[in-house]
Amino acid sequence: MESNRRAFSRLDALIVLGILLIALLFFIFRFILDKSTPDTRECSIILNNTIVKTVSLQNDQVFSISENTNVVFEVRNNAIAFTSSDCPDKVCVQTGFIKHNGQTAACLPNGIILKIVSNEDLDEDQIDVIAN
Amino acid sequence: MKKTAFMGIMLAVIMVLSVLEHMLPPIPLMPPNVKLGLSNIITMYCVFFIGKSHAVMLSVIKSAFVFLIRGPMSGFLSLSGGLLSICVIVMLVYFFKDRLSFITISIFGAISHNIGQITTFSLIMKTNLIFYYFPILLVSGIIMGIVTGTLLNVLLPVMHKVLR
Repeated sequence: MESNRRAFSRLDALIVLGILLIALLFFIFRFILDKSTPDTRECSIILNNTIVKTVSLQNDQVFSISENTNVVFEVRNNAIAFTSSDCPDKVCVQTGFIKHNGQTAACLPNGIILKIVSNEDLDEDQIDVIAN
Repeated sequence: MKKTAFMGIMLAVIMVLSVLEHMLPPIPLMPPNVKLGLSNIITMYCVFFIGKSHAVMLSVIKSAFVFLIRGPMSGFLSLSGGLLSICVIVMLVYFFKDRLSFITISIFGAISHNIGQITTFSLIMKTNLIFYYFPILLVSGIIMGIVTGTLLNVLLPVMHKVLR
């Protein structure tokens, strides 16, 4: 059936190069877009589908939310990360710092999700984030 | 060997690969919960040498398995990645027939696997992740595609021998 399929040929190399080019274009595109956004990002801290706190990324700080003091966050250089948590797998901590609009980090065992939002669209109803 | 028996063995291999993939630490630069597509080796072999419908079934059962061992989120991600990957592979074979090497098809399979996973993740979390992760998604798709494609090429004689 497939006995005459060629190994890596010129068409293949061309396609791979094309994809790399597209990747580069998107990278540049995103880089330019990043430069032009003002640094007014904030992070919504969501516990079990409700936003319990919104913290600005502009000031460096280390804190936890009052509902769960076993999970610690750090804000540094306009980014936020889970620094420690009592969950067994620590996926949240390993995610590291997030800073871009829309990026998320989650500690599922604790039901906590961090989500970067821009200052402008915080007026929307964000109570039921997941099931919406 | 009958196709059914072979499919059973392949499913077992996929399950092991699946468990291994989920045990790996999160890959830097990509969102968590996005997994390598090692099972694509098996699924691709299936598309070319067993049957397209069998391959789709394999993908769906694999996602059900992931759902059982990891939960609904991972299961759903696996399903979207796997299905999109199979569709892309089948379409590529249909349009390009023999002109593409296994490696290129693997690359497209891996990239579409990533796209499927990250799109569902973005939709569920209601974020614009796909825009930010697109470049790294393409590059990692190329890398994993080359890895799975070469592995497929290397394993081809072995798998033929098991099947006959």
